[in-house]
Amino acid sequence: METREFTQGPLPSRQEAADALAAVEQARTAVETAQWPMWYFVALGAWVTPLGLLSWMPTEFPQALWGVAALAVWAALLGALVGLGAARAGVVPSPSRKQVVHMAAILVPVAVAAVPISRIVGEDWMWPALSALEGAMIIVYALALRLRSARSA
Amino acid sequence: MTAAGKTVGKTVDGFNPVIHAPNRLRICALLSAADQAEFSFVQERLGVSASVLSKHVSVLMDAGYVKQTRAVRDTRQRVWLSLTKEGRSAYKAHVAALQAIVGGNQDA
Repeated sequence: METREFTQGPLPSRQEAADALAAVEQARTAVETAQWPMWYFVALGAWVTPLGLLSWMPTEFPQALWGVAALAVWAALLGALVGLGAARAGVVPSPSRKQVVHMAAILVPVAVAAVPISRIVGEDWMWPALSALEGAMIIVYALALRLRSARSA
Repeated sequence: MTAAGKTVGKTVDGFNPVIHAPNRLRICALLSAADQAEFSFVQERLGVSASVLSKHVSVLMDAGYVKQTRAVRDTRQRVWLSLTKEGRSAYKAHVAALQAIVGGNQDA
């Protein structure tokens, strides 16, 4: 139970300030190490996988509206999935610089890999191949992170 | 600017007595790393009772630093906490002030 209160009293000493900064780091680490459930990443990967199939939807009006509707449903269900994951984890971390780098490390190589794949299997398959690879990478990345944190625990 | 951000509560640039209370500093630190966090998550990480956390959250809300939103899930109402824009900048300034104190750079 906390009893110390700082009002308009003297500034904290150097040691007290250092202790406060240590408490700050500890609290931030508690958020960074909070784990979202593994089912969330599996579901997210599975949900991202078929997104590329939307590129096969007709582009002429009014049939194109089906594609727009499908994308809206996909996005709404994605939002619901993220909401479920957040509710289970109890926290929605702000993406750190490290996480942004990790996301780029997943997205960029997969996007690059999708180009030669599309040349082999046909351009129609570029977006489906890209989204399938992104979905698989999300699951693999989450598994790798989970294994690493289990080892370091 | 809120009461806490005025000179009445400052003794060094950015030092904020409202935020500096140990549990409130930890609440702000925790929320600074998150877009939002559930009340029970914060309570568990801080290791305090719900009433103690409520008291500190109320102080931070009165200062305009924290906002809460309510969501119903599994028939239970859950409270989510997040730092306001003002709270985030006040927290950053406070941490900078602490770093200045540690570094021996305070003017006071």
